[in-house]
Amino acid sequence: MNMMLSKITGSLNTFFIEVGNILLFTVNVVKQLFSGPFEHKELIKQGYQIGNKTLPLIAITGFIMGLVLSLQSRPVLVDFGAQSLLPGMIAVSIIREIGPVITALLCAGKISSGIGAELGAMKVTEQLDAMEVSGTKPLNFVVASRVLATTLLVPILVFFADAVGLLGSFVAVNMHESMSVRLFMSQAFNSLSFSDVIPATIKSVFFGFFIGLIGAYKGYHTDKGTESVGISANSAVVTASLVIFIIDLIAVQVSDIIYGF
Amino acid sequence: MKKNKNQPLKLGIFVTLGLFIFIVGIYYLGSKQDLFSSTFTVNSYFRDVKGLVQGNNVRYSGINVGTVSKIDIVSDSTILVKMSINDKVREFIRKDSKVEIGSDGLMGSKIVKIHPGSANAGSISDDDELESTNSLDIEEILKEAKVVIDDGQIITKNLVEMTDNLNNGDGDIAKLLNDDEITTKLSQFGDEMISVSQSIDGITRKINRGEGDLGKLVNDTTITHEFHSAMDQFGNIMLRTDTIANELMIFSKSMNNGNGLVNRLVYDSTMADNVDTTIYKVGKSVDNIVDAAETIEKSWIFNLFSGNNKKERQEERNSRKPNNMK
Repeated sequence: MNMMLSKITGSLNTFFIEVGNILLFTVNVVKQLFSGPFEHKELIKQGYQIGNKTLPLIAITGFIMGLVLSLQSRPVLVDFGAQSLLPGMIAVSIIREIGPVITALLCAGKISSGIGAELGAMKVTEQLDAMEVSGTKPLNFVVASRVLATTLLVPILVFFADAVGLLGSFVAVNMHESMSVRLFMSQAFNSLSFSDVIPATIKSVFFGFFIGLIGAYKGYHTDKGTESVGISANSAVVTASLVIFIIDLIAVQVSDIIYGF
Repeated sequence: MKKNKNQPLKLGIFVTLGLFIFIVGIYYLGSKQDLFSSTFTVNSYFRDVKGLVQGNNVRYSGINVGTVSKIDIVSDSTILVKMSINDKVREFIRKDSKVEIGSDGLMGSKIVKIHPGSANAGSISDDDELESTNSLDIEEILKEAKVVIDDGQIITKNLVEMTDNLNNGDGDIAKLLNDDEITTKLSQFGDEMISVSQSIDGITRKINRGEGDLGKLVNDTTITHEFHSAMDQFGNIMLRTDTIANELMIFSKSMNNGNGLVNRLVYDSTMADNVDTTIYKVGKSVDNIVDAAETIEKSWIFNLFSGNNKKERQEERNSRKPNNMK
């Protein structure tokens, strides 16, 4: 009994220590973002890796999600004779939830793990220590640039995912009935409002920030040994995915309060 | 190195395209909600807004012309709905236009409908108020539908009873449906009707051929001509009768108004009495003459000169008497 209690206490301690470390790490990274020097070359390099290299994955996934969601939803709407509501329903689903969350999860899998592994390897091979010795701030050069890149580019990836998802939905709708692009877009945007777009965009920024931050944190705090690199990468994906859902939950509640859905 | 040089360009294109998609989406969404066009405000008061929320569409004659910008509770029974409407349609919305809250389809979101007003009422101004009307909502429709369903159940029950009676009962309609006797009689009646129609057909054929009196009457024109000439003659007779009647009228007039014998005979009672007395006297004189004649006949002088046999006269007298008696 005492052992179990001590285990729970130990787990809680570890959790709170982790939370505290992440908070401190976040504060340090934010400080680095606003203090110089601004590593714009590194930012472009990371932006290219995060944005351009992830786009095909995001585009394919977004297209399939729009297509599948439409095909799955259509029979239910047909039962009610409400298939004309399909574009609006899909648009709201993609813009508000599926676009940001699917993009964020994919980025967590690809980018966060990548950052975690890369920084973990740098930590294990003591490159980060070498940077500090040579006067380069690793938090600024390595971490801040990556966090800023994910923060800026994940929302843009979300825009692409939304657009491609709507394209997939349009294809799905046209598999069963003929509908012009103009009519599809009109029906889709008739159901949308700024209260759908703005919270989703803000949410995407937070997703991007935490994807980069958690990847960097896990990599930056990798233990000694090469196997720790894999653990860091894996932990980054899991933690980032969990944080994405938590942020999503908070975002829904905040949207409810602000817009009164 | 070349790869690194292209990275900023590719990243730039990527970011630009992403932002372009976002801006186009925002602009399209904004234009849908008249965010980039000039608007004016219209107010309307409702007792119940039925779930209307800010941002719901406002429609004028089925066209989206604006959105609900604000909903406020004014009192316990009054709710103010402010609508932001595109300035382009201001001239079409009249001051006496009516506003109601409806649904976009059966399951769609709530909308505000503005119904056109009269042409002589002026165009609406900014911050004007439009009168609201109550629309039939789903709950009311369901209540009415329940009444219809209840009635339908009663009708169905009655129909079931009726069909049951039709199938198993002994009423006239049931017999008509289930009994073969009526149809047999109807069939017989039909056969009889066919034979009657055949007979009628034969008669009409004979008439058409001019057979018999009726055929002649129908087909022969001589009878018609004769009838015409008879009618002509009858006409002449009628003319003559008319003339005679006129003459009789003149005669009767003369008789009534003149001083002739007939008039006096008809109207003068004294003369009638005189005539009557005279006739009586004449009759009496004739009787006297007859008596005198018989006396003369019976006188011996007359018999002497006449030479008649007494016996013959007696026979003659006897032969007359039975005839007179008859």
